Amino acid sequence: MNLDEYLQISPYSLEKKNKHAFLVKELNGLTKKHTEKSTKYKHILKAYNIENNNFDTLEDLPYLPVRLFKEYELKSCENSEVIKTLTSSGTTSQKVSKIYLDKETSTLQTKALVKIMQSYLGKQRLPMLIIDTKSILKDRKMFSARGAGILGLSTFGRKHTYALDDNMEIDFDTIENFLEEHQGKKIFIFGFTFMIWQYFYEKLKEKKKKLDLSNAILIHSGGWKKLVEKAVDNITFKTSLKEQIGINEIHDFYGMVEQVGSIFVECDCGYLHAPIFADIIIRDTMTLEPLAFGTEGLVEVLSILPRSYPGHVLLTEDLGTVFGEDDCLCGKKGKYFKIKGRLPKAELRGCSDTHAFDMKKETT
Amino acid sequence: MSVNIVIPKGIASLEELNITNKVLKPFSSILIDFVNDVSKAILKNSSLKEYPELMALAFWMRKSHIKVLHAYFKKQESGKVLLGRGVVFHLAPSNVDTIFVYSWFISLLVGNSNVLRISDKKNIQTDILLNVIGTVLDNKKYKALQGMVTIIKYGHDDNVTKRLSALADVRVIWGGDNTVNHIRSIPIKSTATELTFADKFSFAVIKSKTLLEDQSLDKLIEKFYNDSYWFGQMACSSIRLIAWIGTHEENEEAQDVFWNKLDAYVLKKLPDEIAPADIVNKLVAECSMAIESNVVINKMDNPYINRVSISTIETVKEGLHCGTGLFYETEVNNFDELMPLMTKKHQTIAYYGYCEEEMIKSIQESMPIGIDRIVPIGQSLDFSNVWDGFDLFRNFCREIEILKG
Repeated sequence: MNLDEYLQISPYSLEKKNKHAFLVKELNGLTKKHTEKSTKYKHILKAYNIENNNFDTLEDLPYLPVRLFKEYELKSCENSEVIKTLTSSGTTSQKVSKIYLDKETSTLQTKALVKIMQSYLGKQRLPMLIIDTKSILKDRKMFSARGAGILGLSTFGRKHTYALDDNMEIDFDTIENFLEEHQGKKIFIFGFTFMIWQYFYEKLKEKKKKLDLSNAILIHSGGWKKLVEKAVDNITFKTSLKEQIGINEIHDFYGMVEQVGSIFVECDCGYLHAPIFADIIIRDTMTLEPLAFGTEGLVEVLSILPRSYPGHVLLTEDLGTVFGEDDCLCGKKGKYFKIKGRLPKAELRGCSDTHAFDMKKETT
Repeated sequence: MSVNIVIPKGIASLEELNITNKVLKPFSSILIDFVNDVSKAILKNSSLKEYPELMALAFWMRKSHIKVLHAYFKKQESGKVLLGRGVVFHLAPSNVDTIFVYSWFISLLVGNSNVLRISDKKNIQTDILLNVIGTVLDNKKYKALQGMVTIIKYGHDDNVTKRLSALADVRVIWGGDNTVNHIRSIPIKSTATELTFADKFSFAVIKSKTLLEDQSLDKLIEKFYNDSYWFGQMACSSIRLIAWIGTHEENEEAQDVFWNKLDAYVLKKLPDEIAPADIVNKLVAECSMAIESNVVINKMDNPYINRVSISTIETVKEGLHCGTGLFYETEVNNFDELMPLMTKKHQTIAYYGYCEEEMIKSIQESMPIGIDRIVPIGQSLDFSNVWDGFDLFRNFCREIEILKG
């Protein structure tokens, strides 16, 4: 099977044996390609003395710490081939990841995302309600991961309608018109987890307003950090939204700017699922050895999409647990897992930083 | 302005503070007794037992050692009079080491009035220590120290720093380069002086041949462990690099022996302050080093030890070092080869396989640009009244020259 054929099959249809064989071959090829094209990547493999190795298993493949993309420009294509640069979200004092995409990578990302989203939304593009403000797309300073995420997902909907006005207030007139127009039809809602909670759900509740979105499917992402602070977990999120807007189908997804496209969407059983383009490995937080299913550890993500930057195997700073592979009750193949949150930051040590100027970091 | 005045007790705002600029006679008995009483209180406090660096501090402060310091001070004093400069304002690092306590006590012993700034970050060790100091100070016999001991906790508030700086005759800044530069932009009195202790880098030199012949290596390993793992390897004097000295064969053999021994020792000690975030930081540091220069990463099956071989000490990027058991290694033929490579950023060399005389001779001949201390492995973190090239006793005193008539 070549890559084109692989991209055609259903994203949750392959069993472990076939999937791993394809991923190992593809990721070895990418390791080789990035070694040839990125001097920085080559230097790293060379320092570990694994420059020319072929790796037998997914667990053996060398991973880069994802933070490295914040510190260095890592690229395995010519500058002239870069068609898009993605940056991660972050406050001004925080360094952002810079991800360089060439045409091939960008196309692959789109193809993979289409396959994944279609398995949830169907092939027809649905009327789309975006729980955000339209100004996010206009303001260049704000246009980071949030804007890019909205744009990326917009491909899967039509009649894009923004639920919040420029002041981040719910635009009831617009929403009511939208719902009237698409009465009885399936609707696609997209937004960032925290925005949905704070600017949509909480405001609706405050105003004692209920909406009927029982025929909608909500897809959201962006992490739980801020909601955990409010003691809101996934189950609370779902039941609260169901109560307020009658929605039955809600899917979180886990993804990152360093591996756009091969996202991990939550299934009907509440687990995030690895599509055939990607995989996940959990490692011990101290020894970094791979862990058995059911044990929490550091999340490593693998993706066959990154061609223009060496981000195909990445060790994140997220904690998670894989619960199994190919046997989730939802029927989808692949590993299924949950994300717990971020690794706690290291404490400050030593004589440095009476003031700690550049330590005011915050992740969104 | 949000400040928390820890000492003197019962004072809510800076306005109420009454900081004296009168000095006491250097090493007067009330000062010696106070320092000694704090030492005893630390040693007695069972909740401080788990902090070896505080135990070391307490030993340094006990009466018998103060006598040694006093004798040293007296020698300096011949033919002139030394008096405290007045008010000394100390800015401690935010992640408090005990090191600022040393400079505070030296300043106190020569009779100065002291103001300490401590970060408002929560730190159990510091809180216990401050509590101990407060309790000793409550004793009636230290009434004369009123107005001379001021400890304030506050965050990044330039207005507070400005007000306290205006009172200071000496300002002492412990901190990273950014901190030092920033605080320097806040004025002090035209007659005031300033001591700064910025980021520095320290390393060990090990003569491989000696190591291979050493029958009691366990001692070296223990000392090396303390010098590098205490303070999460992030003190300015922590060992972060080893320069192996000898032929390539000797060095290789010595490295094998050394790392095997240290591996076993570290696994026995399990430095529990090394957390998963540190493991990721070390991975980032390794990759960053690999990107920036030609290095070889020697993987150990031990999360507490990471080894990065570099071609020369000049390629070290101090900022990439994250501590918690990360070691750069380099090889040289002899000690003298290192000296031309020293910069202002180099602080301590911890040596093994050499004697003091050899070190003195080498420094006298090569006159390196940097290097402040050269100590045997095991004493890297021992505080001395001479720090970063400054004699603190001298810098905290005015020298009054009196000529014969």
